[in-house]
Amino acid sequence: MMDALDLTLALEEAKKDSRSCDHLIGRFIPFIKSQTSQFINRSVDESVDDEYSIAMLAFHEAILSYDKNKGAFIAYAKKVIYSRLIDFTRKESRYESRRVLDYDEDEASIFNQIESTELKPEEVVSQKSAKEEVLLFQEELKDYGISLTEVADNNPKQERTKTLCIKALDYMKGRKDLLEEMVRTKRIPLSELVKETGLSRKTLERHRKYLLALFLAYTNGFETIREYLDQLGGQE
Amino acid sequence: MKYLVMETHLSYAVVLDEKGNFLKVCNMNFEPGDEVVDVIRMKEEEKTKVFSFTSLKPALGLAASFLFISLIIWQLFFFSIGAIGININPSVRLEINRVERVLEAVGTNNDGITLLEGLDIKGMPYDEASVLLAKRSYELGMLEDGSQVRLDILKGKDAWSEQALTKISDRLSETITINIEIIREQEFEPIVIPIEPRTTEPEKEEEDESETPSGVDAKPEPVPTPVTDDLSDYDDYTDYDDHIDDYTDYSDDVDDYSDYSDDYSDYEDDYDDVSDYEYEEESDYEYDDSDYDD
Repeated sequence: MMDALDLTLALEEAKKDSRSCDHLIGRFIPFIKSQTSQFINRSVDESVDDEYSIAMLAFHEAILSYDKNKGAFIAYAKKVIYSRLIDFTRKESRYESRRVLDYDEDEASIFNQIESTELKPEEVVSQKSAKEEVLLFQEELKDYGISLTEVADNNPKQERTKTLCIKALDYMKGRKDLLEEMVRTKRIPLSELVKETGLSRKTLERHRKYLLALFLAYTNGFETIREYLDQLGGQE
Repeated sequence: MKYLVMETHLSYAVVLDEKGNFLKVCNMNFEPGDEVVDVIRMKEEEKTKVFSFTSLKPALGLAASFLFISLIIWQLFFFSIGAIGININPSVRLEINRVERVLEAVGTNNDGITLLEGLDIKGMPYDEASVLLAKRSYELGMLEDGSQVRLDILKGKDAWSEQALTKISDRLSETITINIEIIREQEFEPIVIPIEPRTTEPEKEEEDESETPSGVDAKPEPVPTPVTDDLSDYDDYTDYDDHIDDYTDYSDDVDDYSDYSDDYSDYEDDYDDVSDYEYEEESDYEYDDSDYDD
């Protein structure tokens, strides 16, 4: 295990960088497993137990929200993991009871469909294609110097800002030339957008990473992602 | 809602939802490209900070301390714990705070107001203030040798009152060089404090003499001595008092009327149911009628 000073430094680094965070989480997997095991009163099966995933997420949250002035990290992480697991268990029990109450024939078939782990051959192909597309999208984004984690962090929090971003996307969808220019220059044509849409330059710059991901999805080869984004028209 | 898994990490995954949001969620063994229907969102550190009393503790503590200190300051310096009335001829009311200083000085009569004019005794220890008031009264001629100074406790607890009266009377006795009689109102008995008699005459008397114009006889004009006999002074100095008979004196002194003083007015003698004014009015009417007739 790490000594206290190393841990403090590693935590500070992990807060700033997602890769360092992953690295730190990797080093604490035995701890996370033991905490999960204590909670479920049995050994953990990583591929099956949702509690383990929840504990991993809780540990990540503990890293991001830890304040060294408030005590030891390990004690804090234990508390966060336990709280998260309790929340998850309560949510699951509510979901199970609702499922039993609302059960009928049609829903039964839907549940069976959703819960079935076995995929049909065409679904396997579709999933493989989607995976390739998403990985390509990740690679393309790397060329712009951003990751999807950063895109998620840059996601508009307010609905009003989100609407403005979608307005910009709608304009870009009709301007293939501007999308091509963006791919070529690796930059969002902000001046053109501000001029044509009347949107605030500040708003666009503030959500540059999010907008870039949206615009990139409308360049060639990202049909699966576009299927998700095409539904945004109904939101306006 | 459906989610497309876009990126996976050890502890979380980034998914795209149908509303165009890129979200960090719990990675339940997801693979990039997976379509999922139920996700557990990651708590964002800023958003997870819910309102709690604990977070307000420092601010509340600071506010409470500030209030407490303010209360102490107010209690010490701005809250009146007692009031002393100093009555020479000028009467002054002194409001005293907890640190035994004058919070407010108010003249309770005209001389008191005059005495306090231009005198700043606010914030001064009350015993010093009372000495200053006595000295100023002396300078203005309001306090003379043998005068009485009455001290009243207008407000305050008994223990404090006793202490305050003693303190003021002691201080006046120590400082004032003229003979004054200090009366503590609470005891209803005058306390005569033996003080060495003053050697010089008060300046006020000298000033009075010097104000007399030279070459003019300063002998005062004789002033009739008022007689108090339960009757008004007017009666005493008029002729009417000789004829006090429940009737006004006017009827007795006017000759014309007195001849006919028979409980009837003189007008009544010529009373014939027709007043002279009425006759005149009749003639006026005749004149007016003639004009209209024409």
